[in-house]
Parts: sequence; structure tokens; C-alpha cells
Amino acid sequence: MVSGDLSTLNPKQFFAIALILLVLGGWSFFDSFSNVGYAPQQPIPFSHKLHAGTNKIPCLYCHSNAERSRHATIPAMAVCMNCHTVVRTDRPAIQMVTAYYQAGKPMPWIRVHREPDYVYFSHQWHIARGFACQTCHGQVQNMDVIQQSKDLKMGFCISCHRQNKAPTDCNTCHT
Amino acid sequence: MNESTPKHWRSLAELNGDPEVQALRDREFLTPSEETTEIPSRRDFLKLVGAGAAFAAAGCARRPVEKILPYIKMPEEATPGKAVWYASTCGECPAACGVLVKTREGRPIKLEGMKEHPLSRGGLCARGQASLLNLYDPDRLRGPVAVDRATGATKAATWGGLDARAASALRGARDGGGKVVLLTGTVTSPSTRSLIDEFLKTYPGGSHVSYDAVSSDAIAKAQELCYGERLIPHYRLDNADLLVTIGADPLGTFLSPVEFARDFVSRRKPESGSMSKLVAIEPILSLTGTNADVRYRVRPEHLLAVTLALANELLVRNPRAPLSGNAAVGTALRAYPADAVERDAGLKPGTLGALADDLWANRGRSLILAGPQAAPANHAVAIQVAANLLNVALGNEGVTVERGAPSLQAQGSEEAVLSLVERMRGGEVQVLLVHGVNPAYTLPAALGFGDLMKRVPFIVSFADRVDETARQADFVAPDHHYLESWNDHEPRRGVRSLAQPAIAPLYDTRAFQDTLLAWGRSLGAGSLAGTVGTWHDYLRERWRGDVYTKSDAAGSFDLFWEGALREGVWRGKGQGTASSAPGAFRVGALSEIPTTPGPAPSGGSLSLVLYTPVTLYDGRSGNNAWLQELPDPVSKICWDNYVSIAPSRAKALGVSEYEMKADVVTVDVGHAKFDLPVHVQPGLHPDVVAIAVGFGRTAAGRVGNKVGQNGYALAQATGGRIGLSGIPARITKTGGRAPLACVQGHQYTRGSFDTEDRPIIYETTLASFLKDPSSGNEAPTNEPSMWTRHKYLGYRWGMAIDLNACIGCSACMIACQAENNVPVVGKSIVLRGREMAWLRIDRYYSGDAEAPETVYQPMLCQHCENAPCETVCPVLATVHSSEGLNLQIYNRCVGTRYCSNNCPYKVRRFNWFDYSNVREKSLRLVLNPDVTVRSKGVMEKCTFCIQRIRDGKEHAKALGVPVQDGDIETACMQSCPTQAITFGDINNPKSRVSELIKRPRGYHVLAELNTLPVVTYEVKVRNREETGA
Repeated sequence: MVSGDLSTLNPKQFFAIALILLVLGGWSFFDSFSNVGYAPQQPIPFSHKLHAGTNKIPCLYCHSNAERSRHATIPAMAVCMNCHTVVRTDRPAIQMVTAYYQAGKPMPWIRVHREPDYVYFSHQWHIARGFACQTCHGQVQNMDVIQQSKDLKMGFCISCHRQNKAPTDCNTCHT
Repeated sequence: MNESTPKHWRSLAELNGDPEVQALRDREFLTPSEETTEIPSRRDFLKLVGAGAAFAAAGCARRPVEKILPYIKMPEEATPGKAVWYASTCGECPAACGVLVKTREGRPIKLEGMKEHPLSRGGLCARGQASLLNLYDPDRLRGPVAVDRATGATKAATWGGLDARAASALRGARDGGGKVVLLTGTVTSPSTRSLIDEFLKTYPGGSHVSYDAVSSDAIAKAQELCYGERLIPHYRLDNADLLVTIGADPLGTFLSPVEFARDFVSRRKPESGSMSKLVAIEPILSLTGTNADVRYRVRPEHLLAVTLALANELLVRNPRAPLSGNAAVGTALRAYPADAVERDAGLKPGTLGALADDLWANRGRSLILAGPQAAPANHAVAIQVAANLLNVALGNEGVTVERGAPSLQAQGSEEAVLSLVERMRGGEVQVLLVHGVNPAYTLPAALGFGDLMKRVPFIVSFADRVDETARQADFVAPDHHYLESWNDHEPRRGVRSLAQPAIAPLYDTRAFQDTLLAWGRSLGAGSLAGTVGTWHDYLRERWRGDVYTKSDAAGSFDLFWEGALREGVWRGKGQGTASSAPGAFRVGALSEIPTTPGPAPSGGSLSLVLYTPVTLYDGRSGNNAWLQELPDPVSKICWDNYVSIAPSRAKALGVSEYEMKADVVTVDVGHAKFDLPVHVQPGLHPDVVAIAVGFGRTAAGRVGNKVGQNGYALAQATGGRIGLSGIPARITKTGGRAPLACVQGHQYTRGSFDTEDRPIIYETTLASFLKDPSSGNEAPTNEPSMWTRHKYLGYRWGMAIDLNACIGCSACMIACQAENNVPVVGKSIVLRGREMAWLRIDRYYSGDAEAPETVYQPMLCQHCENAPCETVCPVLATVHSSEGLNLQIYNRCVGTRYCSNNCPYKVRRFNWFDYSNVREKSLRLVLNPDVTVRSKGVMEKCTFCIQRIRDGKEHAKALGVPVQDGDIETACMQSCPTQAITFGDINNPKSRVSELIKRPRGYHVLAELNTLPVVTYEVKVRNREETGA
């Protein structure tokens, strides 16, 4: 064990000890990347359950870019205003959205689902293949507060790609 | 091995068999690794343990909270994640090539040549592509500034305040009859020219002076003398079977390099059964010279005599051409017999006679192209007159020299700018407006332009920074970057293109033309006073009147305008096909020719040539780090200029350059001198020293300041002309040494493991090729392999690179850098051999060190089937894809660098630092969001532009068809002005690349290693005698 003067350690022992500590620390760190259950408080209490569940608004009505781009994108403020110039204009949250819109300021949503920068993922091709949004995002139509329900890590992607005979070359996602 | 292939070498040390070179080749990196095997200290231990603890602690917390900001209203044309392209025109230089601007989420991230543009036809030079970075230059002005001329201090100003001051100064000048001068570079925009005319008309003494630091004025002047009209002809290299350049560099920097390169290489296809021939007569080794089949070294003072001796051979000694009997011609050429000129110029007897015979044999299909700044100032016009005489005598008029649709890419006049200097000296100029030029930097220092500016009461510069000239102005009224502006261009008469903003102005800048409009209106008089609207409206009205009415457009003007914006370029009916009638040559012009050759420069004297570098051109983009780090195509040195000296002269002077360390010398031309390191340059005339202009900026910005020395300081202004060549100079050794960052001394493509290297370059001659198409090549070896072959069931990507088409211009290197977020590392890191370029152009010499032949080889990841890198990676971070790509997975890489060590082509690059983590936020905007930004400790290399492959595949998938030729172009292929690079699916036997790789010229580099690359190179073919020149 480490006792006394460290300089008595030979390099092998030194690195072995350092490695063990690194691995233990690193394990807990990387494991936390999954973020399953992450449900931060958003600037307004927007409910997917109300919009997508009760009112049955299709996901692509708001997240319309998902069909034509890699990014699903948060809808432009103007999309909210399509309905909310007349619907529920008495609610404080709606008034807040309207104020932001009229001031030309974007709503500062907190991001929930995120792949690292070195991952290329395209919504377009997954939707084109007919995958339901829920496959990766969970039962959003039941969520009052949006939260991450799958870990969205490489294992999650690969197992689905294997099942569906999709390419598993590294460059499918890493470019 | 084929016996006809000469031995190729990269540096003089290698040619001389220096043992250090072998040692270098065996080493991966130049510097000894710092990661030595010292016993770890207590501090290191605590650091590592600390990291582990930090990881563990971080594990309990959420990652940083990230916000997503939505659009307020989504712009109709924008889809986040999809590129939007705008047709526009490159504004980096007056060549005005057509470009497509790729924007992502509203910001331009790449410039690509426009295939439909009649001049550039899809290519775009290195400078044009790098001009994108200038848009995001953090050293740009954020708005107008007032300059205190006494101290040089700047203070933010407002447009309103600036306009008021300018209006009062202009009004004062008009009322007092003082002179208002607008000094610009070549303005290729017809609408801007018309606006300038309208603006200046109001002033009794108003004048517009055009001035180009890299000038073609001598050509226009000689055309005026010979034919009565001042113009630059349209040179048709595609019609020339024999091209003789006399100090001209059409492939590198002269007039319209992209157009010329495309035209030239269109005639260099040996498979067609014939090839044009390029003869270069020049003092320095220019890019064109390195591509010449035959090259003669002649010092600048002798270029005129050599040109006249050629004419003498055709018209006097062996009179055969038209004008032969003409008395004036005979008189003018009398003093230039070939034998005497050959003796003076050091050419072999009979050289010029043989060349004249060759020219006569190719009459009507040849072209004499003399460089406008290659000869001394007092010869500049005469040599152009002589070239005109030769082109007339050879019947090239109307075939390779067209005056019907002249080039408008160089309108500067040296006489005009020198007369402006005199007027400033006389205190005549009251208001000076400077746009697009930097005379305090580019005019010969002896003229003292900077001091003369003090005699002008009011000066406004339109520069985008407080440059050397703007430092002495009263105000700087920054113009937009050209990607933020409206404009039009007419690079050749009848070819008009539009430039449109691809991004809203980043800062509080204003279009130069809008400023002129504002000032014109505030004057309350003249034709601009009654105008309303912006420069955009003015431009539209000009097009309505000038272009729309001449077009056969059926619809409204709005429809026509939309169409013109979409297409980017518009051609008048019948333009480009009209050939000029061979105008009557005025023999009176021959009076420009000196009656005697003048005293010959003594043998030992040195003649200085200030040349225009391919990378920095005249220095206008001195603050562009992409261009600063782009190695000069010939010397392969970046981040510096230097004194090039021939090997024999270096020996005589006792100076040397070795292992990126060079002796420093003082260059003294009498009126100015400075110190620079030497570069020993094979192929240079022994009596010539050469220095690139464009360096030595002092007010370019943080990147460009104090890089090298300002060559213009040594230029001459004599007899109404500016002289950049043939300046008598003295060189003395200072005793100091300085580092020169040369990239051709490291990252050797490694030969086999034997000590004797196998050839990497193969070459042949046209005659041999026509007898045997595989001449010069080596039969493929079928080595037994330990590996089983991969199966490629779908696509398999491959590339063909034609060494005969590659001219070394390096456009592909910048294209790759922009496309793939390749970082700039700086001189000190390049000196350690750690530059990051994924694609490099290796330059090889062969033959005599004094007069070598040159060949360029683009070297990039070969995507080997048996990739040596893949077998040694301990973590499988580099693997083979099912489509034959060698993949590098950054997030898996742990940085052992085994792969780089095992790569025989030395194309892998390691991130020693977080190079892309730049502090300047504006520079992050240029990054391509489809390509991962690599971090410290990660290996990277060419991916064959995997993101472009994906885009092409997705495009085909959306259409439900397989990928076709042209769906996928790598960035290097797309940018190549000469189409030397072809990429495609080699599993499809009908694809273009499959046809090319089957040709007998194809070979793989280091095939004997059995790496089975998918990059096929094609043998270089020279159009000269077998024995060599």
C-alpha cells in the first residue's frame, strides 16, 4: 500500500495505483451520462401530456423538421402562437409566451435529449423508416414534464440497428 | 523498376545523400518526444489521483445545463441541419470567379467554384476559398472609426458623424475647386464603376485612379501602342499547342489563374493522342515553370532580348512570318541576333533558333505570354510590344489572343498612381478616398506615400481594418465583407455575374457603394442627389437598364432578376464565341524597343526579383491564417518570406539552409535594405535572388503582423513605372540564423523497409507514352498476402489522381481545411513537424539541382485495403468500413499514435493540443457542423469527406436510386481547377473513377508494401525529348 515516501514506488506500481483510482472514478462519471429520468424545470410548465396526449396534436405538427432534417428542432415561437393567439390566452404561462414572442425573444428551453458532438444522428431517416418517436423518446404523450426515458447511449443505438439490419459501420454515426 | 523513371528528391540534403535525412525518415516526429521515461514525481501522482476523485465527484452531478433557443419565426428557406447555397462571385481578387456559398443556419461555411461560370468552371483557387475566413476575422473593424493622424490612435465613430464630416469636406473641395480622388484597385463591377462616375462627376477635379499592386498595366499599355485600344486580351490557353511563357505565371498568380489552369490542362491529356507543350523562360521557379515541359533560366534583364531574338529568328534571320519585309521591324530587331543574345543570357547556342522553328511549326496555334512585371521597369512595355509582335507574326491573333471579348480583370494603371503621388506631393489633392488597396504598404517605399498622405487635408479609407494606409486617414468607413454585400462583376466583356449577401452584416459596417450614395445625396447636387433607395436598388436599376433590356427574357424584370440571382452568372448573346479580327499591328509601337540591348549586367552582380506568391498574392489577406499556413507550392515553406538563392550561388556566398534553419542575410538595394533568412531554391537563375511580396504587414492584424519582410519596400519607381524585377541587389551574411517552417523536410512518404527506396513518382514522355501507354509505369506486383480480401458488397469508394493534371496550386488543401475543420497550428508547431493538413501536396524534383524538373503529388489517406494503421490500433479506433473506407473514430482513440508510426504514407495527424478551442468566438462560426471538432490527444486524417459521402447517399436514397457519378464529390475534387482528382464508386465498372484506374498510367504508391490503396495515381507525362531539356 501507499505508505511513506512515494518516490520509493517504481513506475509500474505508481501507474497501477493511479489506474485503479482513475477507473473507479471514471466509471461513476461515465455512468452518469445516461441521464435517464432527467426532467429539468422548464421556463413555463409546458405539458406534452396535454398537447400530444389529450389534444392528440401530432408530434410532427410542432417538431416538423424531424421529417426533413437531422434535427427535430424545438418549434419556432410562431408555431405556439398559431393556436395561442386565441386559445387559453388568460393563462400566465401563455401570456409569458406571448410576451416573449412580441418582444422577439426566444423562450429559453432547457435541453433534455442530447447526443455528444461526435455523434451524427438524423431524425429524418429514422422517421422515413417509420419509427415512432416513442421508440427513443418514451411515452411523451403521457409526460407532464418532459423527461429522458432511454439512456440513448451507443448500446441502445447499436442493438436497435442490429435488430433492424441497419448499418453498424462506425461512420454511420461517427464522422 | 522502369529505367526511364528518374530519381526524385524532395530537398537538397536528400539529393546529396545526407545521413540525417535517412534518420529523419525513420522518425515519426521531428522533435524528440517530451514524454520521456522519467520517474513520476509525487506531484504527478497527486494529479492523477486528483483526476480520479474529480471524475467520481462529477458523477453525482448533472452535466452542464444547456439551453435550446427556438426561432421566433422560422425563415421559410432555412431548415436547421440543411445547407442553403447561394450563387455569388468571389471578391478576393479581380479574377471574379463564380462561387457557390454554402451556408448552414445562416452562416457561410464554405466556398465552392460554380460549374456554370464560363471562366472558373467549378474550380476555385486557394485564396478564393480562404477568403471565407476573412469574414470571421476577429481583427475586422466593428464599425466606423476616427483616426488621430498625429498619434495613430483610433476612436469609435458613428456613421452619422462620419457622413457629416465627409460631406463638409467634399463640399469644401467642390466649392474651392480642389481635387477629389478615389483610389481603388481594379473594379470589376460595372454598376460600381457607373456609381463612381456619377459620384465624381460633381467635382470639377474629381478623378478615379485604379491601381493594382500586382499589375498587368504593361500589357494594356502595349496593346494601346500596338492596336490603339487599351485592354487586356483574353488569352486562350485551350487553343495553344505551344505555350511560351516569358516570366509569366498564368497557372499561379497572373490575371485569371483558375481559368488558365483549366484551359491549360484541357490540352494535357495524353490519352487524346496529343498534348500541348509548355516552354517557360523565367528567372525564378514559378508555379508555371514547375509545370513546364522545357524551362530556360534567364535573368530579368535579358528577358526582353530573348523575346526579341525569337522575333529576329522569325522575321529577320530566317524571314518567313508576316511583317518580315517591314523596314521598321528590321530596324527594331537588328540589335538582337539570337547568337549574341544566347551568349549574353547564358543559353546554349541554337536554343532560340530551335524554339523559333518550333513556334513556326505551331503558328496559329501558339501563344507567347510575357509577364507584365517580370522584366525591369524600363523593359516592361517593350517586352509586351515584342510579345505582341511575335503573336502577330505567328498568326496567333484571334486564336489564342482574343481582343473581341477582353479581360477586365486588371484595370490598374501605374502611370495614374504615380501621377497621383506627384499631385499629392504638390498638395493638389484635397480629398482622398481609398478603397480596396493599401498603397502605403504596396507602393515602393521610396515614393513615401505614407508621408505624402499628410499633405492631403481629408482622407477616408474603406478598409475592413486600420491597415497601413488607413492608419494615416481621418476616418475608416469599413466596407462589408463581399459575402455580406450586393455587387456585380464583369471579369470578361459580356460575362456578368452577381454577388449577393450570404449573411447579414456581422458588424456595423456599410457597403462602400451605400456610403458613396449617402455622400452624393448629402451634397445636394449632381445626378446622385435625386436618387432614393439603397445600393441594392441602384444595382437592380442598372441591371434593368443595362442587362435586362439586352436579354431576350420574356417575363418581367423581377422574374429576370430572380433568375439571374439563382444562376449567378449571365452571358450576353453571342459572347465568348465572337473572335476578334486580327487588328492591324502598328509598327510604330516598336519605337518602345531600345535600339541596343544596353550594357549587360556583369556576371557576378545579383538581380532581385520581387514575385507574387501563390498563397498571399499581394498581401491583401495577410491576416488569414489559412493562407499563412499554406506552404508555398514550390518552396513548401509557410509563415515566412525569405531570400531564395540558387544552390551554386549559396555555395559561393557561403550561406546555407538546413533542417529548417537558415542563415540570415541582409538584402540591400541601395534605397532600402532588410534582413531575411535564405532559402536555397533549385531552379533559380544563379544571378537572381527572389523575395515574395505580400509579407511584412505591420497593420494586418494579430496573425499577419510581422510575418517576414515587406518586399515592396525594395521596389523601384522609375520612368513612370513600378519595377519589381531586375533590381540590382547586394547580399551580405549577417551571421545570424533563423528558423524556416518548411513542410517538405518531414513526413516523408516512406519507401520500403529496405534502405533503397522504391519510386513514389513515375513519369514518362509523350513520345514514349504514345508508343506504350504503360511506359514509365511499373507492372503491378501480386505479392502474396497474409490477409483474406475484404468483401465489398455495395459501394466501394476510390479515387484517381492524375499527376499530369495536378499543377500544385494547393486549392485542394484549403478546400480540405475548410470542409473538415482542420486547425491552424502556427509556425512554432509546424517547425516541430506537427502541421495538421489532411491533404498535402508533395513536391518532388528530379535531375540537376540547378535546373531540376518538378512534379507534384497530392498525398492523403490512401484508404488501404490492408491498412497498416488498422492492425496496430490497440483500441480499434481505426477500422475498415464495409465500403472500403479506413475510419478514424475520434471518441474511441486514446492517442497511442501507433497508427501514425505504422503508416507508410505519413498522412495521419495527431492533436497535440486543443487547436480548435479558439478564444475568438467569431472564428468558431466557420466550423462545419457536420464534422466533429477533434480535441487534444486524438489522431485524425482524411476521411474521403465522409460527411459528403453521407449527403450524397442520402440524396440518392431520397430519390430511390443508386449513387451516380457526380452525386459525391470530395472537397479536394470539387475545388480542383484542373479536375486532377476523381472520386467515385470503384465497385461500379461504369463509373468515371473505375475507367480511370484501369488506364495503363495508373499505379499505387508503394504498391510493394501490399497495402492495396484505393487511391490510384496516374503517371506524369512530359512533352519533351527523352533525354531531357
